Amino acid sequence: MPIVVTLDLMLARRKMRSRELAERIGITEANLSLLKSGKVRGVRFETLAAICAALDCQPGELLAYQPGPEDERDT
Amino acid sequence: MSPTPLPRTSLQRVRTLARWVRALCLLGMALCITAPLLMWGQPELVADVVHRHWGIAETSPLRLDAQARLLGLLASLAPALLLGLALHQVWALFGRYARGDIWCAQSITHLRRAALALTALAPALPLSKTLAVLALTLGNPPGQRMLHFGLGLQDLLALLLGLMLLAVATVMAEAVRMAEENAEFV
Repeated sequence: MPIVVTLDLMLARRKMRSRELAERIGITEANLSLLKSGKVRGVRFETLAAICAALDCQPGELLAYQPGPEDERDT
Repeated sequence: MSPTPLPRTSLQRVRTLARWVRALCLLGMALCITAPLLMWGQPELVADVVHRHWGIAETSPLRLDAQARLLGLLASLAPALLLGLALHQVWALFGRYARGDIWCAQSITHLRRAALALTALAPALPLSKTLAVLALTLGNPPGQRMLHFGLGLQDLLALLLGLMLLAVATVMAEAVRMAEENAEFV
């Protein structure tokens, strides 16, 4: 998956624990853990906006695009 | 990832409904066992049902001794078992609903099994009547034994209900797939 979630870095920068963020944005800690590890099919805009509000950041600071060898061949 | 659980108030409504449905299913299953035994245990009742409800003329001689009635009971076991199986699957289905397992593959399996049992009931009902009438006339002299075949509205309704439930189960399987896919979005 070429989209990489860098939420861990932002949590470390803001010195916030996953549990606290999960409570603030209204999702379970399990789902937040899956999001951090990139094991979700997608993120709702509502969730993304809540994370950005809680961590005072932009969506671009949470997501990165890293094409792999297969993706480079497609482009 | 599993689909989103029901809100508490919705789950409470589903639990109340499930309790009633499961109680009715248990009652139905008990009737599936006791009703044939009660009916075939009473010769007058057998004669009444055969003449008034199965369309056999009152002048047709029937053997109502214990052996004939036992064969008749055996002939009526198949529809009773199929109906009991369908009710058992509905009982199990609503047990899952009561636990909040609405959108899961096992629920679809129970619904599908109930549908198949009802669909199988459609041919089993007239066939059991045929065998039961044969059982009640088998001891008659040659020329007075009967092979009766009749189709009623209840047979058609069983078939339609079974097929309808099968269609619903197919659509619900697709809904489960979509719910699971949707659950992978956070």
